[in-house]
Amino acid sequence: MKIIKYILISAVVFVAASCSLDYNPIDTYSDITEGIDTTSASSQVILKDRAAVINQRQVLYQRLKDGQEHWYLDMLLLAESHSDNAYAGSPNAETTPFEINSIEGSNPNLKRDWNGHMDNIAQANRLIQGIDELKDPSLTEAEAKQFRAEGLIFRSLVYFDMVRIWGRVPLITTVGKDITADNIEEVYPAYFPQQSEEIDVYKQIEKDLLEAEKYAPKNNPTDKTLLTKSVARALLAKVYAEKPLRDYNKVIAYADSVAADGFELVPDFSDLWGVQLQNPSAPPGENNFAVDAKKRNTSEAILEIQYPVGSGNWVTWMFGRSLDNWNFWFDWAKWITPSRDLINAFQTAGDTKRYNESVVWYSCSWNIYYPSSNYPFMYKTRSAYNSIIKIRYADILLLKAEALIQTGDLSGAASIINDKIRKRAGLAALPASITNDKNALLNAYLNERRLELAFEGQRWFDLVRLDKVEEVLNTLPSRDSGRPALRYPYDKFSYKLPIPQDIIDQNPNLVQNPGY
Amino acid sequence: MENTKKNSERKIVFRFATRFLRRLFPLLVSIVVPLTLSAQKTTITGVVVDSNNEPVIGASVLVKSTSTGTVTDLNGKFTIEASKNDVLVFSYIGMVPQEIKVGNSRNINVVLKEDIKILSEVVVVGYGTQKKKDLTTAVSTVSAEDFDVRPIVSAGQAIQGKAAGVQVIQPNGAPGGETVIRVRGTTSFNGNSDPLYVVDGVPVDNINFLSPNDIENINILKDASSAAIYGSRAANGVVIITTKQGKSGESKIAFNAQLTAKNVTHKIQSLNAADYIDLMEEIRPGSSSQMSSDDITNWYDEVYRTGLQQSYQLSFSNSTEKTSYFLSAGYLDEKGIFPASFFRRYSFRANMTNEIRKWLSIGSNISYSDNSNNGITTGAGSNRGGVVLALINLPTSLPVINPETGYYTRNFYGQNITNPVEAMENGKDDITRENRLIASGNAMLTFMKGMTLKSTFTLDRRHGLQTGFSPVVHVAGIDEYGNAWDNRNMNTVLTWDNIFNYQKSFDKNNIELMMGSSWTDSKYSNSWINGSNFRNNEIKTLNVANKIAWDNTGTGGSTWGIMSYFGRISYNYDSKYLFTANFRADGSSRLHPDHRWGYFPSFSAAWRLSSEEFMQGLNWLDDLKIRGGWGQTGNQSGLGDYAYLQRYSVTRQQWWITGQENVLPIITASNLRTTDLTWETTTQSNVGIDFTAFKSRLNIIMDYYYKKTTNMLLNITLPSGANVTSIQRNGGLMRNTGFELSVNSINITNKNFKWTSDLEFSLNRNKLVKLDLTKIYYDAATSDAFHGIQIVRNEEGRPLGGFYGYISDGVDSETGELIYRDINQDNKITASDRTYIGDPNPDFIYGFTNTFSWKGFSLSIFLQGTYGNDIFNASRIETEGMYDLKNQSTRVLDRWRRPGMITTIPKANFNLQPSSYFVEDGSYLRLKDLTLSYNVTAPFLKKTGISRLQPYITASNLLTFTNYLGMDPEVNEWGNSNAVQGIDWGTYPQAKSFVFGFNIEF
Repeated sequence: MKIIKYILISAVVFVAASCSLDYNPIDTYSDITEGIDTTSASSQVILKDRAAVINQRQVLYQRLKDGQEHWYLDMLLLAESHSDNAYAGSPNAETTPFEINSIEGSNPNLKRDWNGHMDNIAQANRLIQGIDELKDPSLTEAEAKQFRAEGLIFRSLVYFDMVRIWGRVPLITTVGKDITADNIEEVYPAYFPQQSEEIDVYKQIEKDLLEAEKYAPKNNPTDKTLLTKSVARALLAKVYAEKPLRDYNKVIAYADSVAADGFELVPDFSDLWGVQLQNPSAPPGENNFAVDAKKRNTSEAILEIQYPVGSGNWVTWMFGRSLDNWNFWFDWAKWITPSRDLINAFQTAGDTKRYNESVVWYSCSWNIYYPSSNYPFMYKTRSAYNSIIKIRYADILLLKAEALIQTGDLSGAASIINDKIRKRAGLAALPASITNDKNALLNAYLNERRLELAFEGQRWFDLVRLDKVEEVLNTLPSRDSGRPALRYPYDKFSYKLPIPQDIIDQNPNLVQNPGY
Repeated sequence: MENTKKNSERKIVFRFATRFLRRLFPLLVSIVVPLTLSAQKTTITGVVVDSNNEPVIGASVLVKSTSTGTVTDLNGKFTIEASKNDVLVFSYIGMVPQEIKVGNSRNINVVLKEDIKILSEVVVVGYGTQKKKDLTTAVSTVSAEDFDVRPIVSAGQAIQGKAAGVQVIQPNGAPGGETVIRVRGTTSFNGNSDPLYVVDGVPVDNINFLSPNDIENINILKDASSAAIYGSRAANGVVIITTKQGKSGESKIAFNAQLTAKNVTHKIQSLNAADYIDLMEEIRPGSSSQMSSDDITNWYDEVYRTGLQQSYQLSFSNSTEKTSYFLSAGYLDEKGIFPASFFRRYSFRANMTNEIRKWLSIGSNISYSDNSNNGITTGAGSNRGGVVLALINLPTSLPVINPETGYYTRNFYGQNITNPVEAMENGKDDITRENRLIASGNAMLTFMKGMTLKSTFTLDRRHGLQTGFSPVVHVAGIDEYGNAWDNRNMNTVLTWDNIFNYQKSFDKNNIELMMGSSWTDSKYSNSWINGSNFRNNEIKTLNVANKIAWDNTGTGGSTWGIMSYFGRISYNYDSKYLFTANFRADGSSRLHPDHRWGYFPSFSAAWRLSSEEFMQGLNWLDDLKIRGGWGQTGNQSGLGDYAYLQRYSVTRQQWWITGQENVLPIITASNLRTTDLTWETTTQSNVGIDFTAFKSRLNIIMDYYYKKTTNMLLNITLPSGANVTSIQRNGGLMRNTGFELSVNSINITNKNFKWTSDLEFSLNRNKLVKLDLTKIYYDAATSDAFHGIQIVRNEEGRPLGGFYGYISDGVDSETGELIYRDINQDNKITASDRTYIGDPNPDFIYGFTNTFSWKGFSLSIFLQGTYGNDIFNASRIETEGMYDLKNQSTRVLDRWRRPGMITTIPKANFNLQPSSYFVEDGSYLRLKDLTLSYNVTAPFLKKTGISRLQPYITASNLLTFTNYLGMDPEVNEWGNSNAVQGIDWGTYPQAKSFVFGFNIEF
């Protein structure tokens, strides 16, 4: 029949007008370029070859550099504004709760911090498990062990901060599998994990660091950006000082091993924070700007995140003037405004050297905590070229002093505080009346730590570690006339912060910390 | 003799003129020819009346196959010269044309019957047409008459309130008339919920390029059984737009011009300088020491202007037995109520068809448009460039220009507020342009009567260009070095459709068979360059920028393809029992090869009760039909081009650092692969009734539908800590059910006066039934004062877009604080006290048009509105939040000031949280358009060859009845979002407009 004939003709046209549907990405690396066969489920690999491992290691170092917001700015908000060192600075619903102790689950900063930290964990896991599963002979065993150790140190750094902030957090050490309709039940717990107990998180950190200590690269005096054996040791010293794993002998031992790696205090405190000015003999200003950081890779830096010229940090804008660009973003209120209580502590101690490196005064266009004509700013990060010194030897050395005090070696502790720390600061030794009294020395130690490590993200954690939160902070508004009234007094629940509500909403297997 | 000579001389002159004009201006011929009647013709007179014996005014009387013709006068009388063998054609809009042979009569009286037009209308459905009366599915039609005297810029505006079941929102008043169209609710969560647009048979992604003047009609396929023929792209309904074609016997030159003046509908007054100082002293004691109490700047006047919109279109069309064409050129220039904002469009169109052989006809549709526009920053607080809020937040005591620096004031008593005058001046160079060419050619083979094969090939090429420059500023305390950007993209979509069609009728059986294939291939490429550090503002191109952004400059590209096979079979018996089945198979390159193909069937049937014996006694009933249908459609719009693959993002590394000279970029996985990704499928059932009675004076269409989207696409963010946290999965279920009613009636019709009404009513109930993995999604961060706390929450068991926050229980008269309800009763107000505080989904929406015509006048009143929807008025956070030194609206004059004071406005510095305090009833009834037009029918027009002259005036958005406190209740800063609706956040306000225009045809 004719009709059939015409239908057939048409059908031929339809077939002729057909085409293949295989289109591959043209501007994006994907499974196709990374050699993953998506038609079989078993072919999933995390890192396909040595180049992918090197790439992934680079990812971790990049994340250290990019962590300026959650791993630096917000840590300062938590450790300085949430303690007695600073005011929120730019008061608002996001920062004020840190200042008046009304932090709760809806706080957006805690959420971004949680996510920033957990994303870092995931990237570390990719490197660690990717190396474990890799079968590429061009990656030597030594390389594999070293890169893996760096991954472990990175993961420990993150978990150490997380466990100190939140206590119970999900402990994730593996990379999740693909999710398909068939295995969704099976992989669900990996993607929606429960929290682990605080002690288990600490044990994982300890285990990872002990292993990493063996294989991580040695300290390189000319490159302090690497996750070295010394970083692992310094971190172990800090971990053993914390309550859940507290072992002061180990703190002392690891502090000593860090010293044995060649670390010491720099003689000039300003080497750590200073800048090189265009005209070194004039003060910084609109027409005399910073051209570089004063020093990098000092003998005191254990882990230093560097921002050389051409790749500056941005976080300086948040604190005050950027000395490399005097007027840049200086028209809105800055964060981490030094508190009267801290300024007073410097003045009482007669500590001008460290004070001058920690606090700077400018006139500005706002008058929130001080008159706008003379307004203090946090000064330890003052130009785009300044490094963020993540771990420095003074911290570890002081921890050793803390361990000595707690183990009863008061003179050993006093010699660290007097002969090293205070001496460098140009301050007289503490009187014997203090150094002979354990309690007095502990308080003096805490004050020393406060002045030495101001605006370095330590103060809150020091108060927590030594159970001083209620004692020091509930009396703060009476000591500090500029401090807004506390919304709630600090109590035993204040030692851990709330799990962000959005994170709980997203993962119903998480449980809020008590008191929130 | 003298007279005869003169007459013949005159004839010669006219003939000469005719010849001249025939060459020069063939379309004018029809007017001149009647004056050259030859002597053997006789004069015929008569009256044309309608079935009520009322004269029909302006009916056309034409001598068939000639261009000789006339129209009836006010008494329905006509006079025409014709010869014995001529046939006269009588026609009038809405009446059935009649042909009468002249013969020996000198007097012909005609009764024109009203056309039961609705039943004989033809509706464009996918890959074909159907008689409206034979429809088994739910289709709405909007034709050009419904909108050709309204000041609309985009086709979407034409549909608003004119089609039941279709919700059209103009989410803001920015030039360009962006609309959001939802056919029977939102069907997708992360995918696109826009309908598929098909313009002259070509699927396109948007219709911004289209001038409404070119549109003949718009058909909206609403149910699955009509839309399923478009398969995987039709889940959100299909809007089929047919552009104008030359019409038989209408050689026509048409010119339309329209001039519109626009003003902001509603202003929000800020505090004067003295009241501002009072407030600031309460917010921050001591802050007012430097503040002046003189009002020197009226920011409204500095910023708003009267927007002017001009629109012109010239078109030529003609149709002969074998060829028809339509050519048009249009120009639209819309200047917004904010000085920097505009939308400009040049559009050209050439539609042509020709029957080149008996068995072959060819056609082409070519359109080209050139759009450019510039907006202002909206959806941002005045601290981040938001212009709409800035002019309310600015203290009136400071000048636009700071006299000390000679530059724009930037620091307003220490508060960072965008200076809107500066922002708009600096934004002048930010321009977005788009050129679009859609060239489509087709050839149709006719194998035998009723059997055709049509092949259409289309090239759709879009070229976009976005450039901008923020200027160099060096004055005291400010050093800005200038930034510029240049983003370009080009997209080419090729479509090749082949459609086989066969129609056959025998006895009372009518069969139609359609089969086809469609191939679509898309290639996209783009580039972006960003640079900074300019010498000055003289040259703004990037060749003079000193720093090219090393990590924000590059090129890219992507491709996708779809292959489809489809078919339809329709059968009806005497238009009494009707049945249609569709089937479509679609394969998409975006899916894994194992899951690439989707299959979309649909069935529908109708029963015309009115044709049954037992209904024959009901003379008043013209038509009664029950329809029912079921079908499945798909949606792949939410899928990225390579969605099933794991893809990696690239981070460039700094190569200028010593030791890193040869560094390579690093890559990080950006999503988890989903090998089993597949189509979203929407299954829809529909039942409807079509009812026509009283000689087509009453026409009712009702439909009920039930729609379920399964395998709904979710863009899941897994809890952080996962290897990769983002994955696209088919893991949701959404439901929409609804009812729609359309009533058209001719209430009064007599000799001079006619009153018609048109009511379109829709209600839709949406519910998110299931979400896999992540159960809760937050969205919509607004004011910085909320610090990233998002105010929309979507979860299982709720309609989309619920507002989430604290319940506010008014102002505590003792403390002045806003009281928040402690839902979990733990004596603390914390995040766990938040709950649902509003629903942006309306209970129902409606449009109601009344048209009154009296002689040549026509008055059209178009009302439109929504009922029962909430709006989150986030703008009020900034204008009544009283949390920093921003100026506030005069509403805060009633704020709490002393214990015991009873008021609804809390004290300055109250605890500001996302709460029901900012949620308002968004119901409104709007006089959308009020149009008065006049069809000039004066005799002199005919002499000059003008067949239509219609001046008109229109007022748009003249009146709005609402309790909403914001600038306008038709608002959504999130525009086309599925998850977020009804949020007013410094949104570009709607304008009230006054239009003068005219349509003229030769």
